[in-house]
Amino acid sequence: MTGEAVHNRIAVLRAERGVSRRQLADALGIHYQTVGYLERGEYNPSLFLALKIADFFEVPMEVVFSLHPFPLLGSEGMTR
Amino acid sequence: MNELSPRQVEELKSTMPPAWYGTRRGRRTAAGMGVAALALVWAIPFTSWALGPGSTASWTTLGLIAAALLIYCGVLAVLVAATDGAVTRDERKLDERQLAERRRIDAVAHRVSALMLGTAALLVAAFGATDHVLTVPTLAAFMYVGAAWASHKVIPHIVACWLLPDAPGDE
Repeated sequence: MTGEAVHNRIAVLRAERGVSRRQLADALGIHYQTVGYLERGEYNPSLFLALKIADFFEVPMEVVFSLHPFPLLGSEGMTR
Repeated sequence: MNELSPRQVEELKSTMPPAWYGTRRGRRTAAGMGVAALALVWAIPFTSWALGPGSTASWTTLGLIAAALLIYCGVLAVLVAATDGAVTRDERKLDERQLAERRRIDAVAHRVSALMLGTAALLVAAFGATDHVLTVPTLAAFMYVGAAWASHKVIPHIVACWLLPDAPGDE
């Protein structure tokens, strides 16, 4: 469903916090492969799961999920 | 089917090369074998009809059932390994993605089953088109219903083997 793509920063946040896929999956009560599918953008979470993910990382939803691609790190500095 | 523990799933995985369950090609080969097993099951009513009634029909039926079961066990083992045991798990224990995947597979399997049973009904109608009374050995009639039941149980597994995407790695 490319027309309904939801972009996310789960992989970035997970790497930043040093959390493995299995640890995140256990905390969210989902299978570790589901975390992989979410990160690859091959599965869009329900609102409930999206809220749980944002809650886990203690950030607002829009920090984790967006309808538009997230800018690459440092890309703003490159354009100056 | 009884639910397998994570350790049992790991043991099962260790009995086969990862390419069998970890690649789309491996899983689709398993799906092809599943189709072959189902074809054997559907051959039983027709061989029973042609050979029966008698001991030849009974022994042929038993042989075909044994061959189909043997092949199907291999297909199921690949599927269990590919889904990390999710295929044997109760719906209540699946997460939302696994549940969505199972429902998608069930929807496709439902369409495939409907097509197959419709074709089987047409075949029976074609065989009996010349006579108003169709004389069928009891074993053949029983195996016809048995093949329909087996299709209902097996087709979702074949469809799952065919459709499953490659799972992401651990990290």
